[in-house]
Amino acid sequence: MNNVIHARSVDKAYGNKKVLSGLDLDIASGTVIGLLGRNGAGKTTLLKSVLGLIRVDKGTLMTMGENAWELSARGKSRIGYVPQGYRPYPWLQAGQLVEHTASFYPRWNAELVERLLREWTIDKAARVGSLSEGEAQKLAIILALGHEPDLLVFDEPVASLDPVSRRDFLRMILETVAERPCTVFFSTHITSDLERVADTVAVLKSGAIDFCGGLDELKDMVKRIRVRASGVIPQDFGGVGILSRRVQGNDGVFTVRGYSDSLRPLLERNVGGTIEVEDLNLEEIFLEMTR
Amino acid sequence: MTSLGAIFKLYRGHPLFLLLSGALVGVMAIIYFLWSQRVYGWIEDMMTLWLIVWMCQAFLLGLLLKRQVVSPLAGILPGYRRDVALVALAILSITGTATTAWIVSMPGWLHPDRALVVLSFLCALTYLVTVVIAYISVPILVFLSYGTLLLLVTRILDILDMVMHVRGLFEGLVGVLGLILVAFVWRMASLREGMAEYPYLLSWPLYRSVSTALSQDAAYVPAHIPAYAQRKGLAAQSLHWARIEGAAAGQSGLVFLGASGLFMGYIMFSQGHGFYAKPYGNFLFLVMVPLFITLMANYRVMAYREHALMRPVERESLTGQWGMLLALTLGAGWLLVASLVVVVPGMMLGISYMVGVKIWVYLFFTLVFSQMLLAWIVYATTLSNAFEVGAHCLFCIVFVMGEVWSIPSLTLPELVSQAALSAAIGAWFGRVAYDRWCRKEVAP
Repeated sequence: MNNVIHARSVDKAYGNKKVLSGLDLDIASGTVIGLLGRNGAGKTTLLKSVLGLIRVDKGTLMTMGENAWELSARGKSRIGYVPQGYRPYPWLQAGQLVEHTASFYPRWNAELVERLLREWTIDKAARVGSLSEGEAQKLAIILALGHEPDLLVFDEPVASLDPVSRRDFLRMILETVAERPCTVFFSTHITSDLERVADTVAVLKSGAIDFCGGLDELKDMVKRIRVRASGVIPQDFGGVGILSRRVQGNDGVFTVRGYSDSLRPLLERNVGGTIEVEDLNLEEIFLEMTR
Repeated sequence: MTSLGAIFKLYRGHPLFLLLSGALVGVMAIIYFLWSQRVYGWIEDMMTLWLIVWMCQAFLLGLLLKRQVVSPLAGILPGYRRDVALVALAILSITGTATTAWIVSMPGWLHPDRALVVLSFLCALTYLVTVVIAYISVPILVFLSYGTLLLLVTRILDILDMVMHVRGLFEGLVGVLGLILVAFVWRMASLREGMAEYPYLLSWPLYRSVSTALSQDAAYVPAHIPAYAQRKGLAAQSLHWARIEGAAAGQSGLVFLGASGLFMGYIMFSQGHGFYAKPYGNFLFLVMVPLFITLMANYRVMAYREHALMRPVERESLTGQWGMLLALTLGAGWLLVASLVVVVPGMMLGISYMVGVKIWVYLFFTLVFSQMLLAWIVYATTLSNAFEVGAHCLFCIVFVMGEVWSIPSLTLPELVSQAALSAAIGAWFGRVAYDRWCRKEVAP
């Protein structure tokens, strides 16, 4: 098994509120995986659980082959993490925060850090507390990359970045993965970014992973079908796998999950009319799957 | 116009407010009972407790009012701020009226009119300070709390006694209190953008304003942060965290300077009033300074636990390093206080007086108990249930007070063994508390 993250039947609740429920997830080494989910779906809880910042109630959760809650120093030294709203030690200067962070890691790529600080115009003399949201986020990303981790975990990494920095960030992820084996696990609401860099997507719904697989696999699986039937389409037309339906007389629009090419002739025979199958982009798929 | 009744409901439905109100009434009833039964020995302590509860309630009132003032509703609904100010003032008045009725109902009470004014003044001041506290940084908040604590430890009847002997103070307090309250209601009622206090009233939450203030260039920053990876040994690794405290060191210095000033005032104030003969007042005074210094210095590092926990350090090691950091800071804070206690009263009061009031013993116990209190505070921060926290604090206060009360009657061997036992309990409890704290989950 070469999984960087391995979760089986993971449960986590805050009081009576269940956040993760029977969650299974395997992330193979070298994967760039984007985590999608609506607000409150449990994305941050899952990411923090993976990092050992939150203890799961039940189930098995292994990160880098270790129990996530009891990560060793060695295990932690292989992880880079960018949380939401990052702004530690606001009284330190950016350069000093870099120095402080670097001091923990025997392997620290000072050259890379310096280059990124320059490219992203982070003033090393500026206090962390006085940086803008976007600048602080950039600094967090730089610090997470400095020790060249094997696993990078980002919680909404681009939420505060301007379009140029966002593009730079995505390019940097691609470069990092291309240069050396590295697993990237990130949550985001910006599906276009995810499409640009991720090779795998996981959809978190009702506390469990609703889908985890390749982006193409997901796009092949979820389709929108426009039907023009010879007769009136019944309101309950369809069956398992229908994510949404809109029926009006002879016309119907269905979004289906689990579409395959064999479905088309079957539908055409049943409705006795014309069938059009449309591809959906990731945002549309996300909307359909989480509605 | 906002319904006054709707605003009243906000207080009526607040569990902590109701709890404090209940406690206030309960303590008042107990004092009344003690007075009527002529059990005078406990009345002074109960009065102190009553004042603490009342000030807590005033503090909470201020916080609730602050929330209402900064709420988006306040900017939309016409007259909202005026109404919340009136309701809050009404609640304060109800408490004041109940207190008046209570004191007047106890025949033979010493100068009830003046007592009322002093107490009301303190409570109203706490209340008002809380409302604008968002602008005030943590050190100032600590000084204010500390000043309040000083008033409490000198015990309330002593304060009243002082007031009665200072010409013009009573009239002055009445005037100041009246002016503050009138100005407060008037300004709140007409609050709008552009007024001097507007930005300060809106700078909520406290944490944000404090962190922004501290991010300015005033903070001290170490020139060079040595490599953690090269540091061997618990103490050296702990000092690494101490280095990044940076500004916290400056804050601790501020606390120390403030405490020194207060301490001088305390000595001057107490000289001739025999306050030094009051064991727990002295003890509380002595124990609080190193505690404040330690908490203020370390809180700022420990507040970024999420960041620290992601560094390549095991939880177990981090627990030890932070525990050691707290112990070292506490020791340093205590040494500062100890020097102050030795030098200042030594010069002003004379060594024989110091020996007579056993100040050395108090000083020694300060170190032992502050460690235990610190562990208790850390433990309490890991609890999420307010009642559990309350129960812990109550037990802690009763335990420490019990120990302190017994100091004057103990022989030297008894003192040493009691201190050793307390130190051992403190060390063990500290370990449990820090371990629990490091294992606490980082909320999403």
